Amino acid sequence: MGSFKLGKMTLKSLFTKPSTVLYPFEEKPQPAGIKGHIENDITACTLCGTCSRVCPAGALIVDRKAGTWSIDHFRCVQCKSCVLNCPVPCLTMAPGYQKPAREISRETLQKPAPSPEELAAKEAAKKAKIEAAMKAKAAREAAK
Amino acid sequence: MAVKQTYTDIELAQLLDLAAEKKAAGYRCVNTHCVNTVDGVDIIYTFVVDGGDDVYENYRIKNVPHHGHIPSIQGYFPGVFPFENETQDLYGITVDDMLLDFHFNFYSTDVSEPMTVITPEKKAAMEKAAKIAKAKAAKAAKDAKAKADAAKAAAPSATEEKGE
Amino acid sequence: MGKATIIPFGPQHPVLPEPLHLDLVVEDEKVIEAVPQIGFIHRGLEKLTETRDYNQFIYIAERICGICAVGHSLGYAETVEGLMGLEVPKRASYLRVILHEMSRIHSHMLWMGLAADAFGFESLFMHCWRLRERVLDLFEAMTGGRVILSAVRVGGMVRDQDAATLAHVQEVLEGIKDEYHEICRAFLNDSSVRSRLVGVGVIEHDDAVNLGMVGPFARASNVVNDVRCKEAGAYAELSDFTPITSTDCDCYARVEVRAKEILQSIDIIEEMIARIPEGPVFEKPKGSPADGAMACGALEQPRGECYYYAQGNGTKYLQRMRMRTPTSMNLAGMAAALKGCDLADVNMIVLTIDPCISCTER
Repeated sequence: MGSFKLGKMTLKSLFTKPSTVLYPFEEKPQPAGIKGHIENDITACTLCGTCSRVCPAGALIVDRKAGTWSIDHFRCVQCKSCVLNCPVPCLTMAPGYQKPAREISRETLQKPAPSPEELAAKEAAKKAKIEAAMKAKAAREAAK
Repeated sequence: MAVKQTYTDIELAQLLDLAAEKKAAGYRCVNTHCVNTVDGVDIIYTFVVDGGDDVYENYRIKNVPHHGHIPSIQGYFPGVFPFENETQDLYGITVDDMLLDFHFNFYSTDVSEPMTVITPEKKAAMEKAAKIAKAKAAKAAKDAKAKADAAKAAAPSATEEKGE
Repeated sequence: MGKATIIPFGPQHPVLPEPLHLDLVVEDEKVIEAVPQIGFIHRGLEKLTETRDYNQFIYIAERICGICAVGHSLGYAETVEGLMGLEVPKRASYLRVILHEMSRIHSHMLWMGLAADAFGFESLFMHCWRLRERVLDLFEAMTGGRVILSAVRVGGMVRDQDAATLAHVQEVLEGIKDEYHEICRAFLNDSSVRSRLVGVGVIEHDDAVNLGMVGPFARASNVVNDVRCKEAGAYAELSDFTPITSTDCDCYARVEVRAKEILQSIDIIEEMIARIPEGPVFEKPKGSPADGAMACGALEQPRGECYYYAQGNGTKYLQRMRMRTPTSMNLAGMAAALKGCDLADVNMIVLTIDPCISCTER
């Protein structure tokens, strides 16, 4: 019979809260794992460049010599390829999208120069490696 | 697990007979598309019949010359007009006797035949791949020759031993 | 005998957010012929295989269309896996089917809302989309995105779903069912809605077969044509599956087929969740597709059968990637359905093929 089959739903919506969210005064609760923007822990980053090679949008630029890692948040499509392929891993995706702005800008992170203790430790490790290699060579000569 | 599929190469002259045969057998034409290669354009037609073996049969016509002509199968399968017009617009192959012909204005792109354009990067990549393939083939030939020579060198010594 | 006028319809028009141009030859409010014209959103995405390797291209395949995003990423991944001979873990293929069926639910609900809007019933449109929001919230909880999910990659999935999330999915879908029955009644039994849909845009069974139509558009004309019957991927694990068809061949039948498919999808998802096996969800692809290798695949997207073809050339860039979307096959059917209809029904008929013009043109 007839019409107005949507009566029950219409009547109910007269007495319930609206389904829409009054953004920007209220915000919808965001679930865990929501897509957002990429963050890099630059102290752990080895500047290998894998992330810039897998990025489908070309948003990442890694300069090994200058020690910088930069991302263009406007180009990023939040696909997480960089996070999934990072060998360290030092990349993570954190909630929060790039807000609209008047100019397109890149975010550049500079890898901090190693401190004197770290440099000394590196030199010592290198020396030890060379000594071990020389010892092994001497052992091989003696065996012959 | 993918759908069942077959691939067959056919000649351009067999196309209309193939379309008539498939139509009579109750097949429907699923797709028509082109692949741009250095020697010409490969055109692939796909047919399937629902409720039978469910095999997607792909028929390929190799190396239609660029700016060549092919006959239309819209007489048998009127639903393929978007694909045949796309073949005209994007690949520059003229399709004759279409039922619904947009005369190269279906997509109205800025560059005519855009899919046949080989960009400088692609050209460099193709040349590099060709160089690597050539080097590989040369190395394989050298190895085969070395193996043959070694076998020859071993054979006369074997006959010498036998002879002794 | 009136004089014929040609009315240009689109590319901006009231029925779809997508640009489609029709030249309607009209005589006294009756459409004699309609000539479709597309090409307003051609982006040349298939040529991007030259600069994006097979792992990166999936993100482009997803963005061909917002509504069919899951379908395209899934079809592309399956085709490239067939090309490289990769075997995807079982849990991954079950999860893919679950996401794809949820995508079917959201797409059909979106379409039903648009159909209600097309014949002027705006509050029904709003209620359909309100229910659809719950499915989009599920997508957000499962994958982090609402429309473009980026949840599928070549070799499996990006992340696994735990049992609590899958139980939540079942709960929400059961909750949708109750309100959904009321919406269905409004579509199928309301007399004012019926007067706009019954007997409009009829395409007989033989014409449907001749024009090669696919999807719910064809199933409403009693053409049994559903890739899920061909048992590819995890669809082979379903205990039984019969496609929903109707013999009425008009717009009402198309609404009925899509409305029932939502309920069928909810049943498929519940069966998949109950039987999902444990295991890994990703297997890293090694190497590149072989030179001259070819593979094709098909998927039953919400709009119909979508055919994919991939050809390798020895490098990590594919030689050719072809995605033939269901709406391209249905354009001929749409032109045939528009013959002889009233001018006021043009909106409704164009919408009942469920056009996705961005997919058609890539």
